[in-house]
Amino acid sequence: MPIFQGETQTEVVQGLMTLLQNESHPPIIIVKVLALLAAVITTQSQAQPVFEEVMTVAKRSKSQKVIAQAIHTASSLSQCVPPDPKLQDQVIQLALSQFTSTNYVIKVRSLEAVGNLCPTEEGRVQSAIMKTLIEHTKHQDNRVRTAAFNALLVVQEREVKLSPEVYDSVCQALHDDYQCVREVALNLIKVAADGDPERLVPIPDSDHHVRLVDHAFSQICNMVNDISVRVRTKAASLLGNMTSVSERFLAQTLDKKLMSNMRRKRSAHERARAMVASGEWSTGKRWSDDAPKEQVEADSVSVINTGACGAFVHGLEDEFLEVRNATLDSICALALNNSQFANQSLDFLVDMFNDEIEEVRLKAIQVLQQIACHITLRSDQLGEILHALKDSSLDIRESLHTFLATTILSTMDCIKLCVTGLIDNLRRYPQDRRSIHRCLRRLGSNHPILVEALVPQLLLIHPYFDGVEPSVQDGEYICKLILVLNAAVHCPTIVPLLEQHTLRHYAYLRDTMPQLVPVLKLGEDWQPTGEAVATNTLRFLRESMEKVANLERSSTQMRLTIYQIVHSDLVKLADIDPELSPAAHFAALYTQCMWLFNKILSTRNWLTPSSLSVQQSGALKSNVDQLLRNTFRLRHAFTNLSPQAEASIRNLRVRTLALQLVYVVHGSTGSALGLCDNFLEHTEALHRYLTDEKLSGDSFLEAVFEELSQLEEPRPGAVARILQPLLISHPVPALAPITNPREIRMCSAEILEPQPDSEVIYKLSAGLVVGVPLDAEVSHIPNPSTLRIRVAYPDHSTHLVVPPKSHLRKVGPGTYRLLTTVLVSAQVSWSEACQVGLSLVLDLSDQEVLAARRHSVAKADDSATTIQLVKPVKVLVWPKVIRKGV
Amino acid sequence: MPEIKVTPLGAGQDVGRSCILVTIGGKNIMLDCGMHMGYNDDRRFPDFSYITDGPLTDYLDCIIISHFHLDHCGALPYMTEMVGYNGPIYMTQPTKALCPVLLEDMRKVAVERKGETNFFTSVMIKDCMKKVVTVTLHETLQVDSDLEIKAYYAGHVLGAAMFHIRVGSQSLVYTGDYNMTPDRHLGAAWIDKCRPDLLISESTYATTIRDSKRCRERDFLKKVHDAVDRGGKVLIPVFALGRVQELCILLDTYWDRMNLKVPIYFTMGLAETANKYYRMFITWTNQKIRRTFVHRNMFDFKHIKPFDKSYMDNPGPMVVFATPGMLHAGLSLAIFKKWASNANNMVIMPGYCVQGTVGHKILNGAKKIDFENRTSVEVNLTVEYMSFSAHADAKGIMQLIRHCEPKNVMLVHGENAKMEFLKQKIMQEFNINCYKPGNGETSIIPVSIDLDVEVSLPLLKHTMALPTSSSSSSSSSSSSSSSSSSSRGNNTEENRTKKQKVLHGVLIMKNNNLRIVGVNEAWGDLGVTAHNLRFTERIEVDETGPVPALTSALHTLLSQKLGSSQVQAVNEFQLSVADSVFINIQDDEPGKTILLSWTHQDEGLGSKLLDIIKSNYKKS
Repeated sequence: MPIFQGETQTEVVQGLMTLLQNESHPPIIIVKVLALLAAVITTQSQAQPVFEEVMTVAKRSKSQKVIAQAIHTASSLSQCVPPDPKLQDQVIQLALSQFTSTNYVIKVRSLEAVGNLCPTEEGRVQSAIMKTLIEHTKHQDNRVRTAAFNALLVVQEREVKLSPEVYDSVCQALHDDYQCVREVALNLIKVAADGDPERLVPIPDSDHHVRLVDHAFSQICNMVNDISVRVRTKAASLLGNMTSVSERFLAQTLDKKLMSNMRRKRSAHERARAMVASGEWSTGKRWSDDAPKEQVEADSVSVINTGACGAFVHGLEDEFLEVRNATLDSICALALNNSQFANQSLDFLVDMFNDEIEEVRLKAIQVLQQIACHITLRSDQLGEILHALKDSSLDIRESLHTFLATTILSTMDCIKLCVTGLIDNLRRYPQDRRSIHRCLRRLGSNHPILVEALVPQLLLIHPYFDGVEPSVQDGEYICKLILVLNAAVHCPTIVPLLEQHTLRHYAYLRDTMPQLVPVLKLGEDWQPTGEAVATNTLRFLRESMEKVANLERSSTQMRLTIYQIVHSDLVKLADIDPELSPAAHFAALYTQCMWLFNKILSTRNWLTPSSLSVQQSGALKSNVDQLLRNTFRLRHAFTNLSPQAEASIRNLRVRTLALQLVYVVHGSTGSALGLCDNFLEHTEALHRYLTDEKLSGDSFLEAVFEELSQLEEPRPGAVARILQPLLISHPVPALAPITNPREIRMCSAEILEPQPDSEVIYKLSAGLVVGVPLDAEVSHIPNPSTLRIRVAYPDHSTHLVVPPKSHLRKVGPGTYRLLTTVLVSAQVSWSEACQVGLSLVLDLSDQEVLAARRHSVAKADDSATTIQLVKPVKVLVWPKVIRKGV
Repeated sequence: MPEIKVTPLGAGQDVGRSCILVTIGGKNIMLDCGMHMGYNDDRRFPDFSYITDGPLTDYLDCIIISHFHLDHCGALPYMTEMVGYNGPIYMTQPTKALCPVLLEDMRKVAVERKGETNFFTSVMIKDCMKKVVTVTLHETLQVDSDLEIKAYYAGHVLGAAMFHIRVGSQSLVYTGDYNMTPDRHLGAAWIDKCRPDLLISESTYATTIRDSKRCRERDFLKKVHDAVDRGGKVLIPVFALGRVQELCILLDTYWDRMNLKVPIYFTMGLAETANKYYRMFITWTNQKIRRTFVHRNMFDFKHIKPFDKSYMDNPGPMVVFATPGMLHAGLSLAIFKKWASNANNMVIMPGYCVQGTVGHKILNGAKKIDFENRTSVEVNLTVEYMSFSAHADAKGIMQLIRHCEPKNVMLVHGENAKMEFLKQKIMQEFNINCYKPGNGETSIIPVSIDLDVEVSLPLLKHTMALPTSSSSSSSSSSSSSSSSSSSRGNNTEENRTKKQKVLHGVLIMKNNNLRIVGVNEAWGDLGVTAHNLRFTERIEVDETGPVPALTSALHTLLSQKLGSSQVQAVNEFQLSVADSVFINIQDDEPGKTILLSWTHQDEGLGSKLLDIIKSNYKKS
């Protein structure tokens, strides 16, 4: 249903009204008209006249469907903004008068209406409504019952207090034959318990009382055993919201054998515990331990769950994963508030690691991870958990790594188990290396004391004998080192334990993986060089930029040289200081652009390419292309720029487009219409931007604006004629000093899988596809939907593949992880395996070159519209001939 | 009082040879037709001569087989072909597919290995299967015009079903064997709130509440893993169908996850056929298998290879699934004999063992087993018991009872002492009767019978309309409905649908059906002329004036008392009140006589009028 605006809407309403007034229409049309009216009208001023008509229809009509719909429409009309209490009264009266009807639709609609409109202040109307609602919760039709409970739910949400008898009737409704009634009753119980948690509810057949929230909790627990999956799921998920439940009840949910009896809770509780100890119920684990012992007192045991008994145990054992998942969520929510419960639920969660469905296993691990702060693991529990590291699913292993990184282990054995488990994991799945390293780093810094005791064992240090020096290429050794070195930060006594070669390796690791190995306070000898020296990269960056800025009066040749020097300096700087790398790249690119500009403009006869030699014209063309690419990259690859920087980038871009236009108009015979449009569009956009940001353009731009405004019709030739002298007379300004060099972000990516030096050959039948698993980390891309996987085939054809959105997961601010399978294909068979390049690019063709597209100036080469994020990784692919007759 | 009669011919306070005879609403039904594993003589089959001396077909209306385990269907060919029965046999599709496979296997063992004669033949099995009618889940199947059956999912094994049997208003549910917790390949039993008169439930684990399934699975995997790690051989005696598929899935996925290389063997042949069927009946399996089978059918095992007898003596660790499950015969027993003396080895009994089998003996800790041919074997290997058999535990049984809300419960298929315990629990918890008849013992379960009575629509409408009219018409109308309405005061109008009402009508029993109709209707129907019973009272009064004067005086008086609308003057000598009471005034010198006449329905009104008149015109 489209939303109409102003005039059209009024017309629509008028049309509908005339339809409504005509009594000869069949009921079905009237019903539809009424429904449309309810959907179209949103304001009270419109609702007023329509409302009258609807009410007369309701009174006039004989059709029950029409009456029902009229009530519904009237109800929604009366709720238009601002709500009109007078209209609402009328609707309530209408609805109340229609309850005599035997038709269920009318009843349902009426219940909905009075539920929605029930006044919040007490009074005659309210009590009448409440009475009607309560009466209808026992109606013979299940749909009416559902509607009545739903209406009560709405009323409760409007903070009208429900009487205690409502709660009783809701509890009865839990045993209803219809699942929809049970479902809504569950909701209502939950809401009731939230509203008045501390009210005492009597237990039947005794003079004891329980808190309402506890009572409600046990009622909902009962429903975890319902017949219907929907009700079970609902019950299981509602349990998680009831955080104020008493501990006594909470503890029961995990105990299947504890048989409590609502009548005498405490005594039954104790007796039941004794019974479990005496083994009245066998576990089915041992043969013939289920021979009945002597008869226990009649009412002391109850096999049926009255109360919260074992609700979660049942939920976790449920047949359907929806219920199991909901139960896990609830356990998580409750355990976050209650560390005792968290510890109790631990065993059950670990059991879930053994679930048959991966989704559930994963969820169990995630829950465990969330409640990790509450639990201390024993070694037997840890053993079970570490088992899951052998799972073939990457998600499960990585979640487990995160869990292990956050958890608190109780003993040395646990650490040892953990390390062995992780190393075994590394052996099985080498692609987990990064994740395992991160895990060990946290593990070390979380348990320095425990690790200290393990150092000799881990690093094979012997008091008398010198061990063999392990290789730093050894993955397992690196793992152990990461653990030990991170512990050493918090426990200085570790350092003296280490051997000489270990310290040497520390220096090496500190250089190669600085983010995993912390700085240790060591003697002068072992300090990695350069560590302590103040680098002052920031100053260097600034100085370099100043150097460029002060070139205005120097000769062209001089400038070109300095541009080049500064450019290469900055590129190096980017490698040295990762923090400044984006800013340095930014400055470097800009400098290169300046160089290119100067180079092009200083080329003699650049406007008459025909007079140039082949070599010169080729160089010129490539320079222009390079310039376009650079400015494009500057424009899109960097984020978090200051407005000034942004403006100068856009300036540069416009200037480049101007250059391109002039070059094309003079140099080639083709139409430059598209280019001209593109240039104008950019110029205008920049103009708007500058006005919005209250910045002034540079002199070139000012001149362009001025000249353009005098132009009658912007034809390419005319525009180019204007631009040509301007380009030369206004040299490219130097980049304004970067105000926030550490905050600039450049989009980048790293492909973790496939490994570049992998020798795996993906074989496929020609014409079919093969999936290459791709695992990459992408950071700081402005818009994730522009991410593409670029597949470059040996025949120089490239494909851009859009990765499914669900395969892109956010792992941190601005950082995404792409886990997907790239489909690679070839139509014909190849004689041998060839390299196919996989890389990640941003595809900005929609945004940038729209105008160019329109005039079909798009080039075959996609480099003009894409930004490469990472160097291609080569994989070997070998399409083979399809065997005939198979 | 109508009743349901139940006689177990097997499985009464016993496990094995399930065969229960039910008489419900005049229909005779046999539930399951199993054989006993513990016996090799006549006792293994139910005693069909108990049923009737004549041909069974005349006596039995149908046979229902709950699932394909031999203790539930083993005696079927014997009964249909050798004893003789030609009526319908109902079972689910997978049961029909797998049943003959198992029967054939059993026949081979009995005839070819043990050399028994007088056993049913392959042809008989085939002929027997031709009599089978298949039932799909939740399909209501009409056996004849009165008897209908409906199958529910029961878990336990592939194709296991619970049956809801209904004759008229009487109904019962027979659970067969069922499992309330889902496992690696099957879902949980499910039944709706069908509220049968009787629930016949199995009670194998009447006194057990089991640990969570995952706990058990983990223990199992751990034990197997430890045993193969120390180089031992693991024997898992199983029945070819059912549990073994679950355990195979479990071990197969575990081997996959743990990257183990130790061989797992599985006695093929029978199991191969069975797996074929398992792969086919995907709709009967659990959520996981149903969701993944497009990608890979879980029953296509990766690590499990067929077993050959020569492998028995191979060195090194291995895991072997061998049939039969209770170590009473066949390959599993042969392997057991070979491996029993080595302490490194292990045998895991994944299910229940009937008394008298080797399995039962070793589970009870026997250190030496003697065999028939005077050989004996030392039991040195580890014996583990792991309850993998998919029966509901006590909690599951209670849960099923709660779900289907029966009026009576009967326990079968369990040990007597344990049943007694559960029986107490059920009676105390649900407050319903619970039975546990032994074999050959008949339980008679009284059921209340519901009679369908047709009420004529005009009568209903008339009665429904009454209270509204009664409030306005007259309180003098003596119908009890008005009195009830007045006693409840001005109770809300909306609630009137809920209110009880007295209905006046005539109950007509004719042609085996019952109808309640209005009086007038009944007269018309039955061709009876109506007789009116009128009371007449004569009151003499000392009035001297002319008759019309008295009439009008009386009219005024009564109008005052009853309301003017009720009283009408018919003519000078006659008044009528509420169209039914007539008052005649006669000139009877010297005084007058007032003749009051009312029908017996208007007794209240009549006597009231009488009082009024008497008190006003008392003869002085």
